[in-house]
Amino acid sequence: MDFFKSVATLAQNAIESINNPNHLTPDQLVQQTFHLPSDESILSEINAEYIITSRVLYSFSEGAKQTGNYLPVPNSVNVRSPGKLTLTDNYLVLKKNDTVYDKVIFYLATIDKVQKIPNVEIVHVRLSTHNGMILDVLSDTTKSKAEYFWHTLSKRHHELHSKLPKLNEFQKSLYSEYLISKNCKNSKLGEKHIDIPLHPKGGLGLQFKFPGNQSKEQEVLKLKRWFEYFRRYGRNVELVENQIFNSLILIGVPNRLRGEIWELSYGAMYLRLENSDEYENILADNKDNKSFAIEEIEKDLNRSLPEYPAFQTKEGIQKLRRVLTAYSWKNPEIGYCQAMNIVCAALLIFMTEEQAYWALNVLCDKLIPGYYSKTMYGVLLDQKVFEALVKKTIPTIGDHFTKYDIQLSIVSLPWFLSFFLNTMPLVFAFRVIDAFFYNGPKTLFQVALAIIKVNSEKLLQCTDDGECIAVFKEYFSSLDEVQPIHEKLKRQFDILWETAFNEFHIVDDKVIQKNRNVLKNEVFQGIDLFVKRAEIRNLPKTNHLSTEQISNIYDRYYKILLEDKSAPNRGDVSMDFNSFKLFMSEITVWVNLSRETKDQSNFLQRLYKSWLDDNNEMKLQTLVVGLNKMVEKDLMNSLSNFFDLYDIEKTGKVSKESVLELAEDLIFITTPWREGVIFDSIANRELEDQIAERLVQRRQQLKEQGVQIDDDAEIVLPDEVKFDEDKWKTKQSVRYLSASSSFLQLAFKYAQPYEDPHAPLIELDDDNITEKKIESITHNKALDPTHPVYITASMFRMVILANETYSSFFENQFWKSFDLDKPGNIDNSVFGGMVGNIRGMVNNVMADGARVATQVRKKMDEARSRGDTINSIESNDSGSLVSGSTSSNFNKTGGLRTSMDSKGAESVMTGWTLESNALNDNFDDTNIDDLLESPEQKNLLHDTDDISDLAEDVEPKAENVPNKVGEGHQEDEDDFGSFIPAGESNDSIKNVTEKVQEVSLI
Amino acid sequence: MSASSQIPVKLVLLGEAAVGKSSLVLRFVSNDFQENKEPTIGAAFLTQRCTIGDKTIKFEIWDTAGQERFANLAHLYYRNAQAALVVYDVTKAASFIKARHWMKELKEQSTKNIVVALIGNKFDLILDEETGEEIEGARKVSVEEGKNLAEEEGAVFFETSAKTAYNVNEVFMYIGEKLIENLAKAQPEDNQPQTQTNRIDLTAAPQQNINDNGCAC
Repeated sequence: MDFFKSVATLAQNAIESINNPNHLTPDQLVQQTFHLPSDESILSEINAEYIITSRVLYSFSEGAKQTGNYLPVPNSVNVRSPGKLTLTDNYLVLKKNDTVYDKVIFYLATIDKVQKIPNVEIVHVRLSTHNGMILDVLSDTTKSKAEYFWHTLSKRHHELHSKLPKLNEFQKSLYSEYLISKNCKNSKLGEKHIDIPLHPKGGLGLQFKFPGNQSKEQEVLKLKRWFEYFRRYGRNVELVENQIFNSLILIGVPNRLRGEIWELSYGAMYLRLENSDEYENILADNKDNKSFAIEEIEKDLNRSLPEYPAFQTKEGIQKLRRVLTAYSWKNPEIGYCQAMNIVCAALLIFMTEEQAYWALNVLCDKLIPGYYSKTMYGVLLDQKVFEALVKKTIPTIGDHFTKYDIQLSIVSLPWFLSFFLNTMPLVFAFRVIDAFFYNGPKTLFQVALAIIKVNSEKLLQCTDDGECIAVFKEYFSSLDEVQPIHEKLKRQFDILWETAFNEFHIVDDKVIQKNRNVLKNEVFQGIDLFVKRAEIRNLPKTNHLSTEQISNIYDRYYKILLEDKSAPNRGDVSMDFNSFKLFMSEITVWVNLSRETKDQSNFLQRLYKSWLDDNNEMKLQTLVVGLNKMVEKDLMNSLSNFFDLYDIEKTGKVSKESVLELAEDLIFITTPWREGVIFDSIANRELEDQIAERLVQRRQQLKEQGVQIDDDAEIVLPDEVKFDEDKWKTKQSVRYLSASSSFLQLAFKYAQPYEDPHAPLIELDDDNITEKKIESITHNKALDPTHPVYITASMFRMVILANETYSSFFENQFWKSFDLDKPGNIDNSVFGGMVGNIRGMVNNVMADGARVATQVRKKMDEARSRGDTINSIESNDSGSLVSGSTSSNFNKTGGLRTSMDSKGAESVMTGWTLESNALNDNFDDTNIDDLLESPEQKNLLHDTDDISDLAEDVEPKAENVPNKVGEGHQEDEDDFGSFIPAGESNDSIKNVTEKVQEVSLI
Repeated sequence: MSASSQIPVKLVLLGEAAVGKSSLVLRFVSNDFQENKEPTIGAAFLTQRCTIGDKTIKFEIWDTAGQERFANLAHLYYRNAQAALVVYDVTKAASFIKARHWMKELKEQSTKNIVVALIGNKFDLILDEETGEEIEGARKVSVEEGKNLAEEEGAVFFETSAKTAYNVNEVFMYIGEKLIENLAKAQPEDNQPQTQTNRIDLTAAPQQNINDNGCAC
């Protein structure tokens, strides 16, 4: 899993919570159904029957119809309907059961009176609003529940009473109130309203005219319909929404009212009501701040609906700047995305700045989450969904596009991003937005599908993307044209509109959400890949890491950051120390989080701190650069890089204290080797050597027994090698302990004193200087705390190189101990980069039989040149031994098979498979016995306490060492693997013992 | 393939927002210039035919959105592209950094032998209207920087002005010629009619033709 995928997943959850009722809490469900602000929570709920009336409506139903009635009287008037009432912090909302459109939303402060109507059977409460709406609620739930509901409501209503003046002030900004106020002055129907003498502030259209050439009559007719609606069913924050409301929106909202209906439809109005100062404050607070988003906004201000006159004026551009900037501060995650400028410009034609600001909030948060995000995953996902829906609903087109590899999404992307504002003529795009704000994202899909549908004949002629684009271009420019349909003339746009809502109503929120769920992974993977590629491309050059390895580091870096819940989810991320530790534990063999030690923590801290960038952050690039140094294969450079970890001040000198830490760190890093979890190349070589030695001996023995062996034959390795793992482990363990002590010794031997400005310079060739004096300089300074000393990088290298184990470690093991070839999404710590145990080592040695074979030949040659008793070998050596490296065949068990044709030799070879019995029978193991009984060996065993004092980290192992060696001696002394070349081992162990003793004195 | 047949060429424009990608296309396609052109959302598609020698090339131009976050979508457009214009604004250093990224992205991800031109646009802004000489300090990306980047990435380099039409047609002509040249090279090996243009084998890396093509230097 990838970082961005999960970023997208977070956002996807947001989409889901909006569209998938199953994932919603009851609060969220209510917020979504009624588009309430996300901080509204449910206080109480009841199921009840209700009747809605208003003074006006009542008059109508009583038959007092008057002329100029533009709306049908719904048959629901005075009818009891079942529904569910919900009281939230600031709203009383009601939804009629089993319908989509019948809703009531009352801001609590609009309620004037709560009256209990006496009734023995049920709880009957009558609510009346300031503007004359009457809601009768007849509770069908248990009495006590209803009582509680009304009690809570009364209480809350009382608390909010103080909000009334603020509400009245707010309503003065609404055209609906102005419309009522202006037209009801002389009405005898008794509507209540607030008096609004002045036209409320609105969009730029009031001043610069609204786009399109709609006649005044049309506009007035539409306004009258809305006027009637407002009188009967309420308006703005005290509203009854029904099917008629939806119809009024679909036939097109009048320009003067458009801003208010847009902000009402998806709840932007409620946000503005509750946060009346936010817009101005956010601008004021950030007055002097700069941001990248602002730079981007500035680029586009002059090119946002430039054909609309207001956006060629300073006034219009300033409004656009303020709204976009305010939003970029409100939501820095989005900042600014091209297309927002066009959308915002469209909003400002109908809305005030503050209205547009809140509408933008609602758009980005609720209607089209992820569309304008930095990865644009929302809009990318919806293009996939759209393509899938085309395939499903208009399969002929879907098949055609597939056949010609036409990518519909590249055509439709701008439709979705800017709600057709830059594709259709503005007047039609505004119609889409009317429906979109009211019905949500499905509108975009329905309209887009209808566009494909009505153009399907032409689209079937297209063979590439370009031709499709041409079809759409022509179509959009003809939306205003009429076309005869069933002997009637119909405008293209109206055909589209009918198609969208009649044929594609089945494409609802549920269908869309289902498709989003199916397709999201595909989209996120695509984004991941792109983001990853871009980020990797911008990394500094790192010679020692392959592209594949960098890719693995990338995956692991983000995988780990994601697991860290405290990490920020996007943008400028960096890795903290804990995540770094986790990262290192997954890629190195020497970090083991289940065994936290001080040494481990110290060394990781050192790595972490020394890799941090100038801002003290561990970014991906920081990490890559650091790792690149660690996997340096060149011994000299690798040592310099290691030295640099301790040379923090970059003086080229590392103090005595740091050298001690360095030595401790080396002990820590080499833990897996010291514990015999991994064997190093020295052990490897030794093993090869021993196997070869054995082969030679065995051959000789057979010859002595009179078996005919053809020396021309290939050398055949045994199918199986038995060995004593513990003895090998011990041996390597001792070698590493010895390396650490000799390292320290040597390092201090070569350490130089810091120059003391007061001390007289010592002339080395001065005759007066005695040998003793020189000796005191070189020996004592290192140990004298009053005379600080240091070592340089070249000294460090020299000390390491003087040490076979450590130099071999840096040459062959250290860089390999970072496993960067493991895919970044694998978290287990199975270490793939190195041989895991002795069995693995043996298998490897046997698999690469050529080397052993070469060893055997060498030994045979040596024996011969020593004039040894291997006469048979000597005598036959005139024939050539087939080199194992040139013609060896491997069998499945990894042994070498012979290519000999002599039958006798074949049988000999079979005898060579080193069955333990054969070994037991035939070997003379005096050497081994000698070794194990040697006093040095015993010394070593007794000295382990001292070793453990030296290196705390070795403790558990060190305690085990004596037992294991002892056991090995008793049970497996014949074992092939326990065979240690006598002379060499004796010496080396003796050395170790001495050194260990020496060091323990320090 | 007959000499008179059209050769369709898919060309994509890439570069930071507001460097003038759409304006270059508008100049080339309609010989027009608009001061405040709306930003491209997603991408715009335009075509233009032009005749080079005895051949007609039909440019199918994908003009992409410049804002960073739209870069996510760019691969949809440069898929199978045979030519690309990577555009920056000579008065905006940041746009040149972006151009460098695009050159790399193309190298990694696009059709193997894509013909690429690096374009430093808005050349008119660094010229004094009266004297016709460069205004000191107006230029933020030097000719050398442009040339070097183009050379590194095997691209050709032009400085242009969509506003004054300076060098605009030359860019497209150069690309047309280059493609025809490559087509001719590929022809002997491939006797199939070149109906599928994305099969053109644009073998050798484009040559550096900077001076021949009248760049600003």
